[in-house]
Amino acid sequence: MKTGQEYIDSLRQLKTELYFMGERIENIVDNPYIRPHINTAALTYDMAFDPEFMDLAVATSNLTGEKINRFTHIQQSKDDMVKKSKFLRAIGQKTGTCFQRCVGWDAMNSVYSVSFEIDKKYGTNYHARACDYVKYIQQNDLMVVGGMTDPKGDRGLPPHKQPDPDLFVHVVETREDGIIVRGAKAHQTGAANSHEILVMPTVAMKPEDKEYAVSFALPLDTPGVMLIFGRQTNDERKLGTLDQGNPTYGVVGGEALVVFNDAFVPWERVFMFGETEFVGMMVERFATYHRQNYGACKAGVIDVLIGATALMADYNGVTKASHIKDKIIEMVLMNETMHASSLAAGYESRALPAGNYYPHTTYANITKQNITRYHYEICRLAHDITGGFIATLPSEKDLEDPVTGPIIKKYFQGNANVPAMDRIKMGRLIENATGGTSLVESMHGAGSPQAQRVMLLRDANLERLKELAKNVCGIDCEKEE
Amino acid sequence: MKIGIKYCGGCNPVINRKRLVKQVMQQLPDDVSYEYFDFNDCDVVLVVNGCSIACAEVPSGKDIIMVAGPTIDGWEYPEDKLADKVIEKWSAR
Ligand SMILES: Cc1cc2nc3c(=O)[nH]c(=O)nc-3n(C[C@H](O)[C@H](O)[C@H](O)COP(=O)(O)OP(=O)(O)OC[C@H]3O[C@@H](n4cnc5c(N)ncnc54)[C@H](O)[C@@H]3O)c2cc1C
Repeated sequence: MKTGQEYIDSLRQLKTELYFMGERIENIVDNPYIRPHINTAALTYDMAFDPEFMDLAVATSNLTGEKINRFTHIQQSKDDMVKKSKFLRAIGQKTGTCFQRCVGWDAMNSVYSVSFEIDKKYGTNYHARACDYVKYIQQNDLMVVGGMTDPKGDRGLPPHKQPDPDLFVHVVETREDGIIVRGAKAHQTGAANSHEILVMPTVAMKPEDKEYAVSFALPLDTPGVMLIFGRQTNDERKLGTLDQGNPTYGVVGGEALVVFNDAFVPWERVFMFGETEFVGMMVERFATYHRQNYGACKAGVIDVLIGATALMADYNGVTKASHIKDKIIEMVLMNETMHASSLAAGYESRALPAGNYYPHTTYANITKQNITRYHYEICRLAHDITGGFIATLPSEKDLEDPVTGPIIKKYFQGNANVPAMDRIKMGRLIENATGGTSLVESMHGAGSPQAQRVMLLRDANLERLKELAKNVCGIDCEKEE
Repeated sequence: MKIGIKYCGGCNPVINRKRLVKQVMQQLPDDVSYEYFDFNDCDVVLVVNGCSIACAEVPSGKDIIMVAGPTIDGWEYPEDKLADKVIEKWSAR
C-alpha cells in the first residue's frame, strides 16, 4: 500500500497531458486549482495506515491474499459492501468533500463481474485480463478513474446515428496487438490526479453500435490521451485561502474531460469488444455500485455541513429557537435516511456469478434518488439558518487590510463569545459546500434522477403488488399461500 | 506489559476515540507499551468502537476491554468518565 506522500510522489512521475485556463499544465501536483483534490485523494491513502480507520480502510485481496487499500478491493461479502458504505462516510467526515476514488473502485468491480459473464457466453478471456489488471492496481495501489459518461451529443440518438461518430468512445482500428480508440469521457472525477482510467460504455446498445461496445483501461499519460480540467464555482478563490471555505480539500472531485485522440490499447487491457448485449449489464452494474455510495460519502460530507450549520446557529445566538432546532432535526433526518438506505443496499447485497458482491438495486437507487433531492433541501436549510452574510461577505484581502479588516470583524461579529473570524470562516465553508458545483454532483453523478426512477419501476414488481391488492379485497386471483 | 489498541473503522463515531485512548494512556504506568496491528503478544486488548454497534473485529483468545460508544461491557457512562472506567477494568485484572 502507498502512503499519501508516496501517492503524491507517484503523480510527479506521470506525464499526463492536461490543459486548464488556456494552457498546458506541466506541474499538476503543485497547481493550486488541482492541489486540494490531490490532498483529498492522499488522505484515502493515509487512512490505510491510521489505526483509527484501518478496520475500514484495509481489505484482503481475493486475488493475492495481500493487504490492500480498500479502494482497490473486489467486494467479497456483504460485510465488504457494508464496510464500503461506512468507509466512505468516515472519509467524508474528514474531507467535507468528494475524495474521488470510489468511481474507479466501482468500475473495477463492474468490469470484473461482466467480463466473467461475457467469457461464459463467448469463451473469451476478458475476465483473466480483468483479474490481472485489478492485481496490478492493487499491488501498485493506483488511483483509477471510472470512465463511463460519454459526451453523447443528441441524447435521442444511439451512438451509430450521431452526426459526429466520436461523441461516444469507439474503436477506429483493430490491430494484431490491440485497438485504436477515439472519443471522450466527460466529467471524469479525479482524472487530473489519477494514474489510470477504466473505460466502460455509457448506454445500452444494439448490434449496430458494435464498435462502441468497448471497455478498456489505459494509463492517463498514454500518448493520444489528453485532459481538459473543468472550472468550478468560485475556483479563482483557490489562489487564496480563507475564501475557499475548505482550503485543504476543495469542492467536489476536480472533474476533467478525458479525450482519446486515436490512443492505442493493447489487447491485455481490453475487457469488452463488440459484445453489445452486455453493454446494458455493464452500465447497470456500475450505476448500481456507484449509487450506493451517495448515501455514504455524501452522508459524511453532510455531517460536516450539519455541524457547520449548528455552529452558525451558536455563533448567531439562535440555538435555542424551536424552528432552528426543528430545521437541524430535518437535516439529520434526511442525512441518516440516505445513509440507512446505503447500508441497506450493502446488507442486502448478493453474489454475482463472478463471485463478487453487488448492492441491492432498489436500495442503491433509492439512495441516489434521495440525494438528488435531500442534498438540495439540506443546503436550503443551511442557508436559512446561516443567514444572508454568506452571500455578501467581503473578501479575505479586505479582512487582511489594516483599514477594512477591523471594521469587517466588528460588523460581522455574532455571539460575543465567538471570534468574528470563526464566524466568517464557518460562513465561507457553508457557502462553498452548498454552492453550484457541489450540488450538481449530487444531481447527476452516478446518473440523472430519471435513470434511478426507471430502475425503481422495473424492480418494483407491480404485477405482484396488484395480486396482493386483489387478494386483500377478495377479487378472484390465485391465492397467496 | 503490552496493551493492544484496536479501533473500529470510525464511520460515524459518537465518542472521540483518539482522545479516550490518550486519556487512558496518560493514566497507565510508563512501562506499558502499545500495539496497534499485531495483538499476539498483548496481555490485554482495548477495543475502541465509536458507537454501540461495536463492529470492530475482536482479536480472539485475548483479554478484552470493550468500549462501544459511551458504553463499556454494555454499561453506559458519560464520555468524560470512560477513561477512568477503562482504567478500573484494567486494574481489576
Ligand atoms: C460532479 C460530477 C462528477 C461526475 N463524475 C463522473 C465520473 O467520475 N465518471 C463518469 O463516467 N461520469 C461522471 N459524471 C457524469 C454523470 O454520470 C452524468 O452527468 C450523468 O450520467 C448525466 O449525464 P449528462 O451530464 O450527460 O446529462 P444528460 O444525460 O444530458 O441529462 C440531462 C437531462 O436529460 C435527460 N435525458 C438524457 N438523455 C435522455 C433521453 N435519451 N431521453 C429522455 N431524457 C433524457 C436526463 O434524465 C436529465 O434530466 C459526473 C457528473 C458530475 C456532475
